[in-house]
Amino acid sequence: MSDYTSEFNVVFFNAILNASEKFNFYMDGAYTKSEGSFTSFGVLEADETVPNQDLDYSMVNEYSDLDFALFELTYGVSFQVDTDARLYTSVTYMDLTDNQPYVYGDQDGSITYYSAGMTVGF
Amino acid sequence: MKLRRIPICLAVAGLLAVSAVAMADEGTPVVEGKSYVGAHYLEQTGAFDKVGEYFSDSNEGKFQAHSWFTLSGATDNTLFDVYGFLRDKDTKAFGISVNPESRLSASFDYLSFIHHLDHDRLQNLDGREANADGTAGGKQIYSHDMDPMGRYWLNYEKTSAELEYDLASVENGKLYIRFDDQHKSGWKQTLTLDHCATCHVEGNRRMIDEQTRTLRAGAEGTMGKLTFNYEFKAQDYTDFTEGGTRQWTRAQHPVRGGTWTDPVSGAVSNYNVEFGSRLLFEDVVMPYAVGPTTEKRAHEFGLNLDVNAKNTMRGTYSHSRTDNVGNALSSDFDAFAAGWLARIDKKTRLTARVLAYEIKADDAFVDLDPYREGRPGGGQDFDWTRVSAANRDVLQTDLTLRRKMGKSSLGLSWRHKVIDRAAMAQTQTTYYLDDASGVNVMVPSTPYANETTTDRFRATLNKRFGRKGNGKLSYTYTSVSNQYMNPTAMCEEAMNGESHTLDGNSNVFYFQRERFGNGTALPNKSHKVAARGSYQVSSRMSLSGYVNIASELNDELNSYEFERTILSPGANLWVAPNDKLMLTLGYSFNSVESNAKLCPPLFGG
Repeated sequence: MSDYTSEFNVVFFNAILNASEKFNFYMDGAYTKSEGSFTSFGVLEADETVPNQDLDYSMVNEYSDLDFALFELTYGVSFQVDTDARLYTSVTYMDLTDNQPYVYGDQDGSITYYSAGMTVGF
Repeated sequence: MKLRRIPICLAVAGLLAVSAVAMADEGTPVVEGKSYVGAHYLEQTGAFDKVGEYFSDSNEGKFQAHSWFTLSGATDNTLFDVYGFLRDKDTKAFGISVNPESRLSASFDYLSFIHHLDHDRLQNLDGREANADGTAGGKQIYSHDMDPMGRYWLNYEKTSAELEYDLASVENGKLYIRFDDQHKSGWKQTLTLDHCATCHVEGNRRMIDEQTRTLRAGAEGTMGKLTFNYEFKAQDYTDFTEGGTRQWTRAQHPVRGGTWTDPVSGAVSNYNVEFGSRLLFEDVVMPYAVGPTTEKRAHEFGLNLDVNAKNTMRGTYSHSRTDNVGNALSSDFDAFAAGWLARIDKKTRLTARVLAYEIKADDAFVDLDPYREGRPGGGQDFDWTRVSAANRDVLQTDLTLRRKMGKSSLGLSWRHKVIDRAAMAQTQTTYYLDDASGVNVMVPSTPYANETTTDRFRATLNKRFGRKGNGKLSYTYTSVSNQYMNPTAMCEEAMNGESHTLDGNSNVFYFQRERFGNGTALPNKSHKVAARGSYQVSSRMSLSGYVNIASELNDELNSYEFERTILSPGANLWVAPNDKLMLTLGYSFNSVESNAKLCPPLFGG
């Protein structure tokens, strides 16, 4: 027998600051931790003695361990240039840490996404 | 007083819409829009496909223009809504919805995005036993990734169109036609197994080019106390690829190869002939992972009868047929549903529903070449007829009582469901030597029939806390008799010296080893508690939270007792400390603990 446990923890926040009539700031963030693992299968007892075998199952339960951490953060600012027009810019950073790389290889990776432009209402 | 707020909101919204049209009538079009245009720059480190699962990296390291706009309003008796979005070549959406006359509405929408897919490196599939003298043994597992640098992705596109026309001659009358076209394209990894199950796993690159087209056309309306609806649905799935091909390896001894000469006796063994006679194919190029092209046609007809002010009855019948064009197998679905809603008094409602449906798929005859044909003691016939596990007769009844009690409402419901399966699972054809007669006896494939009965009881309490808060608490108990399982799926019976060798055939120890363990991850007893609530602390702060708890058990299994415990709480806080700052904070947690039985087969022969 073995016990399987999976756990997900998600923390997120969002902040909007209207600092003045012209300047707006915002920030979004999220941290997700996902884990999954089996406990040891224990000592396996064969019904028959099998010669010339040295089968070791003591580590088998760790083969399918999962442990991912994902961090996401966006920071942006907009500036009012006219009654219905604003300039904006933002940067988003995403980072994934794979603490138990195995079947799909090491999936550690990060993305930085810069954005800028103009918003118009009409 | 509070109950009036929703109708008031709806009335205000309706008034605004009418005002917009009225203003348009007066030659003052009401049009509002918003748009942004800009550019973005993306850079990445490490592996992209997991962290950027739904991001396109087609323009990584380059500037890419992006834009979004929305335009809505009313002019000349026409309400309209137009939008468009472009992030990159893989991620875009646009659509239009118009209501040119009060009796006609039309819409068109398009959406596309990219989804990066996994690449199994297969590097964990590499092992071989060592003999006592240190030489390589026969039992092994190995793999070949034929596309080691490959990246896989799916481009998803969906196009939808809808046209509705209100019939003036029929109360609430409407004709409609809707069309969805979903197209998936890209590349994915496909795994194939060689002859001896997982001994050799090969990964290959395979094209994706699949289309699902769905057409719905229907009519609905009211004649007196009777309301009717009818819908025809046609759904076709087409895989336009031809499937990949690969070379299946030559049958041979895992250590000695195709032919082997005994160094002592000089006798030559042709293992290719012996092991080849045990296989359906070997040393041949064949296709794999060929997609099933299917066609589905469905009809649904429903009637709703307002018997009197306190009683409403409803009944529906639906039929669908799905044809697999590739193998000419079909399945039929027939369902009847009936419901009765009784408004016992101003505070109490009683609902009773009955649902009965049948799924019947064609039996499939699996025609196999005789086993070890032409070899001593061979020639066994393993043909069998597959009875689909989807086949079932289902009867479900629901009884729900809901009563308002001041600022609260209480709901009680009971569901009774019986699923009668002709073949929950199926044994494989096998043979044994009858000691009394000395004759090899065939044991034909046998379906495991199963009838699962489920009773679900639920109590729900909704409560409002003044104008500022509300909460909901529910408890559900589910009891299942003969839960769906995989019977005799695991844990082999030990041979303990008993011979299964057939008469005239000393090469086969057994065909299907006896297993006894029933396995499932579904409970036969389940307790679930769900609670959620929200509260407005002040005009600058509000809280909401939830918790789901489940304790599940299956004590009907013969080899272990399955248990699962689920705990899932969460909370959100919104706060505006002053007029310039708004904060939202949230946390959620999910924990699932369950158990599993492991029976690894140990075979030293």
